[in-house]
Amino acid sequence: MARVIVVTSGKGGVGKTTVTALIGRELAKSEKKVVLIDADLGLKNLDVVLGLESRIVYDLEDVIKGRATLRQALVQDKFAPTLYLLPAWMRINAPDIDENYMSAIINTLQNEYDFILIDSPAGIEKGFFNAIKNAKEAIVVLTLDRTSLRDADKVVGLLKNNQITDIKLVINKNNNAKTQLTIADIKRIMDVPILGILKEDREIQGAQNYGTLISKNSDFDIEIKNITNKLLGKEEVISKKSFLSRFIKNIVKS
Amino acid sequence: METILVDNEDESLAISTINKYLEERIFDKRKKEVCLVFSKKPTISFFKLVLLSFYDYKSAYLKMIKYEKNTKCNLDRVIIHNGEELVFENPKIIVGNVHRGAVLHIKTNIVFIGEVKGIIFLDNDKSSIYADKFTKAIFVDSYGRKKEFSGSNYLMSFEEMEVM
Repeated sequence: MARVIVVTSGKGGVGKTTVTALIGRELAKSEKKVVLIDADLGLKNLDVVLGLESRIVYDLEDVIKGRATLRQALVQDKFAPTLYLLPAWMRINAPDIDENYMSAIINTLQNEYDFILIDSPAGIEKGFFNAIKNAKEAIVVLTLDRTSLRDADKVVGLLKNNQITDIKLVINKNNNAKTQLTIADIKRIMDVPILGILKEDREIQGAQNYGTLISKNSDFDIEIKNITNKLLGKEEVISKKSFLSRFIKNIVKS
Repeated sequence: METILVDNEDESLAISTINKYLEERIFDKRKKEVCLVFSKKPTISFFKLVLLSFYDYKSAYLKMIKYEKNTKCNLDRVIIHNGEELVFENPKIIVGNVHRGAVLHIKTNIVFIGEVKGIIFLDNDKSSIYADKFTKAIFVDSYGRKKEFSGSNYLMSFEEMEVM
């Protein structure tokens, strides 16, 4: 049975979609079968972040209306062969999806995959409730801003109200600026386990815009690996190797 | 008020110290206030054991609320987030905060060792809530009366709503 995890935030622009894509890809690299569902029907972006927009033939609407099977609509990732994307509506006027359809899709996928990650829309309207309905776990993405914290707080409350108690935080866009809230503030106010802290990184902008991979062993890559390890229940924590340790390793190798 | 200094480095030893203190005063009929000062920050499980030691003897007051002997009272450490809606049917002591936007329905006595900012419905005449700090907390009783209140170490009850 797949673990169904919703990635949500409340506030828009905090990096939900990017975090979903990167965690999904990293899980797939760990030989897990992963499907990403873009539940952000109005403003779908998961295909763009993964660099898969040109590969989409069918989408969620085609599956619901019977024009395509679920298997036909799933798009395989370019870099991780066990990662698939179920794209959101392609047309502009996306109607709200009936929650029963979403449940049926997830039930079908559950036996075939190890992880189902649902990229939730921003806000707490019907789309949000559709996205969380079938999830058993949640990753709440937030930045170190008061508005983001406040929205994340609300989202955590709503998740708990909907019997999702396995909630973890991913703090994104941390640049250690004095104007930002601190990690200690988040820990104190939210009292929710932190899965990972991602730095503000220009490289990630490039990866988003061009659908490329982030550099191996960059800070961002290491933190995503650590987040994935935590999700997989591995205790291993990877840390960035210093220039000296890499130099010594290369000498030993040669 | 009597103040007892308790070395809680060894928790089981600390509990036996407290029990010994209570045994010495078992025939003392006067109501006593006791202040326990611990050598290190008590853990929740230890704190629960301390409270249970007191409950085993006679009725006790905790933060202005009287608990009769053998009252079943749970101790929880929890943060209640904005958007959460909880119903409290049984007495509870909660170490944690209630965030603005959270909704509590209280049918009994609740003690919050922390700050309360949410909306609190006092559902019957036995409902009461104590908090170390209320910050713009909104209280609504079963008659639909609504009050906003800020203050420290306060017990808000159904009767209190009538007076205010």
